[in-house]
Amino acid sequence: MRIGKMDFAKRLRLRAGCAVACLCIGLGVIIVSVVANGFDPYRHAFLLGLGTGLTGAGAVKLRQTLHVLRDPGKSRATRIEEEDERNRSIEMRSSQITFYIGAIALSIASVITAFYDQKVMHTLSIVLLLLLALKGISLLVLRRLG
Amino acid sequence: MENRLRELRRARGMTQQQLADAAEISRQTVIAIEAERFNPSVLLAFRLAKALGVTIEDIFIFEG
Repeated sequence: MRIGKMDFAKRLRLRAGCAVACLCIGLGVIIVSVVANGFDPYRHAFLLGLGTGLTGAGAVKLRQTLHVLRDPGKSRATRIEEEDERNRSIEMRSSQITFYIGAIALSIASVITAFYDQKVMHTLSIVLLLLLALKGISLLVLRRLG
Repeated sequence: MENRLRELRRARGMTQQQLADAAEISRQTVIAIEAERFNPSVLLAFRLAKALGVTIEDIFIFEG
């Protein structure tokens, strides 16, 4: 059973690779935040938090993926759960709802912040425009491919 | 779309889990199809038909 052009085992191996990359980037960020001088306390704390988060997420994902890869029973159950048609349809609907609610929330937030802080309003507007542009591009690409 | 999935499954003495395993889907999907809350794709309809040893038309009743 395949999703797109990639079978499940290959997808798991790719996932493990991404988890390792995330782990390495996280450790790199932690090292930079500890070793590098000249950061103010806010930036130091931000980098340390980012690095710890990335390292933790990478480690957890790597452990989960390796566990599934090594156990054929668990691998089959996970594949069925992930490739199940109804689950995928629910995930797709959930993503669509999340996107539209996020876009509406960003629009409202950018209008509200326009009264208080122009910088924040610009940032929020740019994020909203980028999101909409990405949505448009992904629609175009998927229509071409589909 | 109406279907006779529950009837055909029971006639073969299969549980929802056994049918789900045979068609490689989750048990929740079998439950949703039997309750007519979810219409499967053609591919899944073929897998269900194969698992039950019948044709798609035996399971799904299309009233267009």
